[in-house]
Amino acid sequence: MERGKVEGYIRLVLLGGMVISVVTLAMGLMLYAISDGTWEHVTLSFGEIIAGIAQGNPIAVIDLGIILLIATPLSRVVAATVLFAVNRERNFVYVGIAVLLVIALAILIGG
Amino acid sequence: MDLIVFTGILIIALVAGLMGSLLGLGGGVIIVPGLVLVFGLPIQEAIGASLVAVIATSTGAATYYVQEGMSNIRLGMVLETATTLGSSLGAVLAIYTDQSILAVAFAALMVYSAYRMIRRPERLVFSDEPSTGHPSLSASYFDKNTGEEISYCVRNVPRGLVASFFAGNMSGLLGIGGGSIKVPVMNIWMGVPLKAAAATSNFMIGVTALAGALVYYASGMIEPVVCANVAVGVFFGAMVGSRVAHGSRSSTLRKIFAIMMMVIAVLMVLNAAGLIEAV
Repeated sequence: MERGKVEGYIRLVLLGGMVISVVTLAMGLMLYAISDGTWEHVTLSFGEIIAGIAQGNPIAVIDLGIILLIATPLSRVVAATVLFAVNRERNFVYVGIAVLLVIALAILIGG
Repeated sequence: MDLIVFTGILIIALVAGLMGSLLGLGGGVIIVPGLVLVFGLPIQEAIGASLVAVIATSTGAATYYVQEGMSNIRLGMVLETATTLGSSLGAVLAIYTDQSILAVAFAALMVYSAYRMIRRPERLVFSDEPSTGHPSLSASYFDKNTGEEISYCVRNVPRGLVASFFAGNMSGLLGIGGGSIKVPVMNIWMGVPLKAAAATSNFMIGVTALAGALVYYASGMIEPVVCANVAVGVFFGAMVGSRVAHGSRSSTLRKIFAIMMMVIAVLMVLNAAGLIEAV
């Protein structure tokens, strides 16, 4: 794979994540603005967010949007690491794995 | 949250996105004081919201820079190992730090940003002999203004890693992107041309802010409605700003804004001292 192709794929991942998360957030905000504002906050587990969306809770839609937004740069790191592996750029595969490990550490120390 | 607060936060975020892209500074220096001074939010919640917004703006800008080939993805990822570590530790520190100390630290950051807005210490670095840098990190991009292909090598990677850790730390601690530290470091120490340094810094900011945001998220400091409002507002504000900007940045506008930032920094300190309340 040529060097420029990695950039092309990464751009697609970023653009896709960006559009999906901003649209979800904007939808959640519009639903929240037209609701009476009495919705409960859902706890941030994926199952409860889905259940909340099924009940029409706008805060659950917003939570989903935030998770999608946070997941966008994360999926970019995963995509780059896979692309470096396909490209046989071994050093950069290790770099990608190191970044993912630090992110995992961030979740652990925050919780 | 009532409709006035809801709309007010959205307006501040739109202004932050717009001014940020017009003046070339991250939205964080506007959002955090806005949320604290106008809406009386705890500074940790304001920083968490700012980090989520920083992910949105940097991702939006990255799609453009990556397409143009200006972001050095490999260098960015090497430095991200340090920025993410710095950012997550900075976020942990912020959660356990007293609100007033954080506010004073933020005020100091604003004074630094104001100084940088008036005096930009970066310089244009010309490409070196290819043998002096790391060959796997060297890159090139096409400069639209000059119509030239610019190639460059990257040197001083260990020093860059240390500075990136510090920049990440500031990001997680204060809810900013940290470009004001990374861009001059990449430019002056590492020999990366200014445009590529700015694009690469922006590329790293999303992941850096993500590491910090996850810590705030896991600690329950992410208030979803505020975050969504700020993220959407900043995103659309920046989109409008980048259409209007077209490169040339008025020095008068920069000076006026630098003075405003100094005033807000003073207000942050007074607020931290309990001398003034949120409006």
